[in-house]
Amino acid sequence: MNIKFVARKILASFLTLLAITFVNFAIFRMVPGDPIRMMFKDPRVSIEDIEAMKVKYGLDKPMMGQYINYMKNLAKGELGISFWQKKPVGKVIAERIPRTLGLIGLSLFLAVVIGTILGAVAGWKGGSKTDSAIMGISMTLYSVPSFAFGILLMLAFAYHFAIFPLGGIETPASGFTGIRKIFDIARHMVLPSFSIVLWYIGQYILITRSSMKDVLSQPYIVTARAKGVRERRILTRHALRNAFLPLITITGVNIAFMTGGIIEAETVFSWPGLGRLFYDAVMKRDYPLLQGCFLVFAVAVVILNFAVDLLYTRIDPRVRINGEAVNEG
Amino acid sequence: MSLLEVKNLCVDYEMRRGTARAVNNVNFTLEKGETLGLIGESGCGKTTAAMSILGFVTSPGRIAEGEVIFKGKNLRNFTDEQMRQLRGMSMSIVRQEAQNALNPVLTVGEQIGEVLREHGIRNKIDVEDRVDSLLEMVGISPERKKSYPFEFSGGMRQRVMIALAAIAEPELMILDEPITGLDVIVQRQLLNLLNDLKNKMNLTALLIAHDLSVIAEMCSRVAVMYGGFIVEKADVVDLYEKPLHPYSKALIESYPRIHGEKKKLVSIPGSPPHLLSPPESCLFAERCKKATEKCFRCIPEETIIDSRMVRCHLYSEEECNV
Repeated sequence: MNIKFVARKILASFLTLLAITFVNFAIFRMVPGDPIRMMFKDPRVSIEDIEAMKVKYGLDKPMMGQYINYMKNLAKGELGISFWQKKPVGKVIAERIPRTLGLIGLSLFLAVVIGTILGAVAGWKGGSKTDSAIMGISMTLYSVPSFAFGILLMLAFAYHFAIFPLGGIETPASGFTGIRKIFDIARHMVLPSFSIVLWYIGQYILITRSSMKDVLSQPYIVTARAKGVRERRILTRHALRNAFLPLITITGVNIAFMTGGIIEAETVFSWPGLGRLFYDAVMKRDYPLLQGCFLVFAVAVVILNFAVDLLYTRIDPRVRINGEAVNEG
Repeated sequence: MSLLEVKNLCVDYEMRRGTARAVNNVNFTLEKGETLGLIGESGCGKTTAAMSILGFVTSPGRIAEGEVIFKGKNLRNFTDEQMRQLRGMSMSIVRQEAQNALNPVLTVGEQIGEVLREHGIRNKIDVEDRVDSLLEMVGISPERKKSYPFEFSGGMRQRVMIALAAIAEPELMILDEPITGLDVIVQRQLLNLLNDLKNKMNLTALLIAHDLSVIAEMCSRVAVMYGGFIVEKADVVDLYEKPLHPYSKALIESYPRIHGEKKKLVSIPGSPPHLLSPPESCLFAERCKKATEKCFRCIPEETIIDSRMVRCHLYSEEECNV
């Protein structure tokens, strides 16, 4: 791998993050609503009290000054104090991260594994009954919005059949420990992750299938057959690896979309993760917390995309050597 | 016994609008060590005929009739697995489109060695040695086996394709326009390379080309194809000096000569025949200057004159029996 390539990617990621902090800062201040008003529920509060509160939270300074202040603190690793929870934002977020990471990780894993396997089978058996059946499933999944899935899944499996819990992360006051606790959490994860994942499975099937069909029509597949390579090996060695290239790009994009989707899923299933926190922070106009959540999401997306780029270089030699994708073959 | 015998081969493409017969009653034999040329314009069925030898006729195409006999065995009775074992090992192909014929994400060494590995030669050192010597034979330094196809020029990729086809020392090698689309200097080098290999390995080859000079360079015998039929089959020299079929004649006249008198190049009027529901007559008749009324009435049979074969009414006395 090329050091220059990696360095360039790191620099690009850094610049992206810098731009994000700016947008991140500005956008919430443009949203209608006033955090001070949200803190004093009482409409009879005096002007002096409001001013004092503004000074306390640094909201009396002009926007640019606030931004510089924010960046200074950020450089020190401080994300500020949550208006709503009155605790350091870093702490509030930190306890939520593993929960969301678990949910996203599981969802992404399921989407990629189930989607690509079904898609690859459909592409490999193009035109067959299996292909039609898989395509039917994928089109259905792809056309239903994920929040609708969430509500339907909840209705069917949590309410009607009562196989899975309605929401939350573990059974309240169960006192489970060890393996039983892990199992309990896993049971709570099933419905939220499937509500996220179903749409992505549909998408992965569609993309893998078309990519597979495209690869199978390439001359190098005929070459492999002419060499007397076994069909199974043509599939695994020659077709899949090439068919997966576009999927890596898609996965990079999907990670970003999924962090958006997580807000819906966590809200529907009361999953106490970052998405839910984000939702609450919006409702409370809690600027520092919002910025913190947003920043964490952004950093995660940038880092994961960086990882995707590196992964790309592992499986496509054209990227590895030239430093960027060349469009041929 | 001939190495390869193709008898009455017919390949049909069945489509919604009808059936197109891409290869029609094709007969030829290949003796061991011989190189047969197959020449004709685009779409005349050269590649389809060659691919059906390897068992590569896929839907909507199918071999409708005929036999492909390789070393005394009819390949049409072979199972998929038996055909697979034959491919790469006993018969191989160098195709055109060398640009995309190699897998972009595997090194060329891996791709060449795969031929041996997939046919049961598992010893790593043996395979690597063989890959090295083959690369050397085609004029590529063995260190470059760790490179990827996109790091090679078009000519070098075609050399890799040749190495890949030759590594198992197959008894039959099909060369499907192996030098098309490359510049003349590279073409010359590749022709020399192929001739070398032919002599070193005592190769039997079927060379497909639409370029007369390539055929002349490599083949002893040549078959001219038109509209799915072999219309003439002769020794290369005979064909050049005295083409019998009007199409062969027109084909030669449309080609410039370096030596000898300068003649105006003559193009063949009209366009290649449509293979969907073709007329029950000589397919070349519409473009033929010598066509008679008989030519529009029935398909000419194969006629043997002085150990040459020609499919033309000008040389047959038979009457149409329609």
